Amino acid sequence: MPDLDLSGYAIDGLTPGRVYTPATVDELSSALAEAQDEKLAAIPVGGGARTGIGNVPERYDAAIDLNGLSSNIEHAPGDLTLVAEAGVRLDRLQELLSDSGQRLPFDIAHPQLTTVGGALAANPVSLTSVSLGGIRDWLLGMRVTLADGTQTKSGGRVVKNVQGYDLHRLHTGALGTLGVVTEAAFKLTPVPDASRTVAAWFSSTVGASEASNMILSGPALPEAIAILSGPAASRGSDVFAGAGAGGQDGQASALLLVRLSGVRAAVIRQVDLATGAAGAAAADGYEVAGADEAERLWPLARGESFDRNGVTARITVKPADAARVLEDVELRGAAGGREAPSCAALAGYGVVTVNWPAGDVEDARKAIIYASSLRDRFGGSVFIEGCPTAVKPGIDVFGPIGPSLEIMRRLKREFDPAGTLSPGRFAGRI
Amino acid sequence: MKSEASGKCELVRDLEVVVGPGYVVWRAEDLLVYEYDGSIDRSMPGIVVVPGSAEQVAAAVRVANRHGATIVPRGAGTGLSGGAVPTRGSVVIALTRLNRILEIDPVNMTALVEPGVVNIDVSTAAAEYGLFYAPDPSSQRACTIGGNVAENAGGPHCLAYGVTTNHVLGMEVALADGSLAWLGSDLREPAGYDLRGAFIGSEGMLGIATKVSLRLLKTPESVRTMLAAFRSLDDASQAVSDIIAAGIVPAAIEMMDRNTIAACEPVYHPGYPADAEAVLIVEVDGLAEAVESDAARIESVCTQNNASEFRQAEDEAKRAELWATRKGAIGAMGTLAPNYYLVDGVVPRTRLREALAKVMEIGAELDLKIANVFHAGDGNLHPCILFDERDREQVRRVIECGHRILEVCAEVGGALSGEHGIGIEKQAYMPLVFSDADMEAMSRLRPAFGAGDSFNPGKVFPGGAVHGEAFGIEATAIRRTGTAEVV
Repeated sequence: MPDLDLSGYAIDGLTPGRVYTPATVDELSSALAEAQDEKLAAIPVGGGARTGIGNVPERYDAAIDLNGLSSNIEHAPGDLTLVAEAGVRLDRLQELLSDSGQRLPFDIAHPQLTTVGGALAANPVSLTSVSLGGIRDWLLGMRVTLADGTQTKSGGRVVKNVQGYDLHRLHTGALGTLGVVTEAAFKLTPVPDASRTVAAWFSSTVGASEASNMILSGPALPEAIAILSGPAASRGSDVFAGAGAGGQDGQASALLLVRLSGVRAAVIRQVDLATGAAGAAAADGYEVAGADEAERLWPLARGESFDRNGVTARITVKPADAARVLEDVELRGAAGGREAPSCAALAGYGVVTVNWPAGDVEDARKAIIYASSLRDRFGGSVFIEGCPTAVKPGIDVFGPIGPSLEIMRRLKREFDPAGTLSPGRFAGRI
Repeated sequence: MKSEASGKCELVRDLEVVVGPGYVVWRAEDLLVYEYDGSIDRSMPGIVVVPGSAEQVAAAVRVANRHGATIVPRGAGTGLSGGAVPTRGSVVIALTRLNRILEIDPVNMTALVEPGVVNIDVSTAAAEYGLFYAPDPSSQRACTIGGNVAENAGGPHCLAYGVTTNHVLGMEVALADGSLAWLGSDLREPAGYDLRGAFIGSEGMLGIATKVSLRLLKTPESVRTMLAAFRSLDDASQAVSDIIAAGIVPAAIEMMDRNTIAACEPVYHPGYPADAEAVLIVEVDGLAEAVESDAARIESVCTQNNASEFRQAEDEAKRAELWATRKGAIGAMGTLAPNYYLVDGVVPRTRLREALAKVMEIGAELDLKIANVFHAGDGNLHPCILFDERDREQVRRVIECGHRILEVCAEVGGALSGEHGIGIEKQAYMPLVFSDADMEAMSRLRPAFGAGDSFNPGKVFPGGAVHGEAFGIEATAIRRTGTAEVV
């Protein structure tokens, strides 16, 4: 084999000695069987948007680049279902679906760098989770190649199926540690007739949380509702600079974004409900965003403006506690780093993602210690989605799992007894 | 007659220490009622224990372990695939006493319930907060949340809302070693592997749920229930496809065919047109404007497909009446025959017409009357085969009929079950859609959960139990069709 530059496959500073680029599932099977025979540690790689997730791998001998598994897409518009191979990019998929007025309601950062397999393995939280759930809620079945090369499937491709154990749910979010996803079947939903975004800016997250509570407890059914704070909020208010967003200094402390979708008449009423709530919660101002503005705003809620070299923590709490987390980060979060962190909170869903811009290693440590303290004070879980490699060895980025960790360890032993797939990367260094 | 003391074995006495003497059932005549579930299969339990708390469930598991006894968990016994039938003389752990709704949290829109809580009671309790629990199996007035979790139960409203797995956040389970552990939590995102997702639908083979955290939804501000009658099954099927194709996903689309209508008419007097070959019940819910618009479009789709009658329920009472007919349809089959066998299979919704035609063909070939009442919007068929169990030869044909219908489902890329599970009934048919490697991978969950063969032995996987054994059926060789298009 000629010497290739494999630095593009580096994870946490480790560069593999070889790469497999299977174009078919059979080739993948052979690659995995070979890796297992040679006692290699292999890591599946997709579009690269979330490769930094997870603990530092124990070993990393071979990358398995799944981008070549991208030929099969079976869209059945009449059935509202889709089967796609692991290497298919989400942006390509959504474009194809939109031709039939359909979509996979999975709204995440960097769809152009996200493959179907990567989305399933990393299971990022969708912006529309509050109304439409996560990718697992649209997943019908899966094909998975196990560590020894065995090809398996579970579930089905029809919208309802209860046959055998739902192994596809187990592989969702497993970061490729139990098997390599090669194909998945999804149910789809029609693209709504109309969609509008309401943006409201506040002098603190307290007002934004109050407005979002009012909206969520009323008749409106927002498709997405997010609260931004810190630099992300400032960037958002820049979109409305002409409208005086953010008051005198031009910088809003908190920005509430609400996406209302559905039949036009229902959207119009919900827009009124949302702006009414913003007014009642003493917003400094609000706007119904134009399509261009909306397109600039929502990426902020997906975390696309986050500093990928900084520390990103995903905090999951009871939905009602998210406001307190936001407030805490607003007041004390800066103590964890040189600069104030950005927050993107999915209201009504209890997921708050906090990003501290890159600093030195000590800054990163402080940010992580602060983020972890939120778990102790508010319950729930804290997942360090991203941080400098230098600080990773001292922590488990998944946080403590509790007694069920023992079941997870046994699962790993059952599905990958030789420790071929991404050893050490998962929770509890599984 | 044996004296009470001498009839009790050591296992009974040990279980009595855990739950108290009143809650262990061991006399043969008392055990009889636990021999069944809603399927045609049956098998006598060894002992039935009825614990009063999660800790007692776990302790009962430990006692059974010590005696080397296998365990079959049981909710209301309404399951339709033999999931709660106590194979191998198992100890049945009946969860009927764990029937408390521990908490409704209106702010976080969750409920914490015990497994023996009846499905509809959750929505009833949540109603005062303007919330409801979405999965609504037709047996929701009897079936329990624990059973729903085990079978990943569905219901008419799954079309828009999804099935049990989409609405359960986590659960505390008693594991095979007699410990209690939470899988998932009461949060929206689980941490680590999604053990919650793996447990739901595992048919009581990995552990026993002792507390379940449920996600509640806002009660829709507007609901419209419609009825459309058609003179042909084809027109009704086409209407279903056209509704979906129009970009509408109603809360429910249910279909009843002529035989079902005939069964319901004398019981519920719904007054369907005399010449109706099929009736659709379509429900849309959500924001008032959306409901208005969808209802108008659905009416026009039905009219274009030659609906002979189209009604909208103008008030809650009429709405409830329409649903009473649908949800009670299976019960009404008693007017047509002494017994029924409810098949559960799924086809892609675009293949509905063809699949229904094949179902009726198979029925005719085997000289069996079939009534169809099903979740048309999901492609979830429920052919209801009418028979008399006293006629053993007929029972044999009924089972063959069910098998052949599932072959049709597999052939068109569908599923062996949409919501009833595999249990005893369909384990022999698993190879129609799954390879040995697929099933071997699934079976790895049992050692991972520490369960081995101790929970619900002989279910789901081929070779465990024989469907119809109680009627003298012997194990049948199931051929692989090789055409199944399951991903």
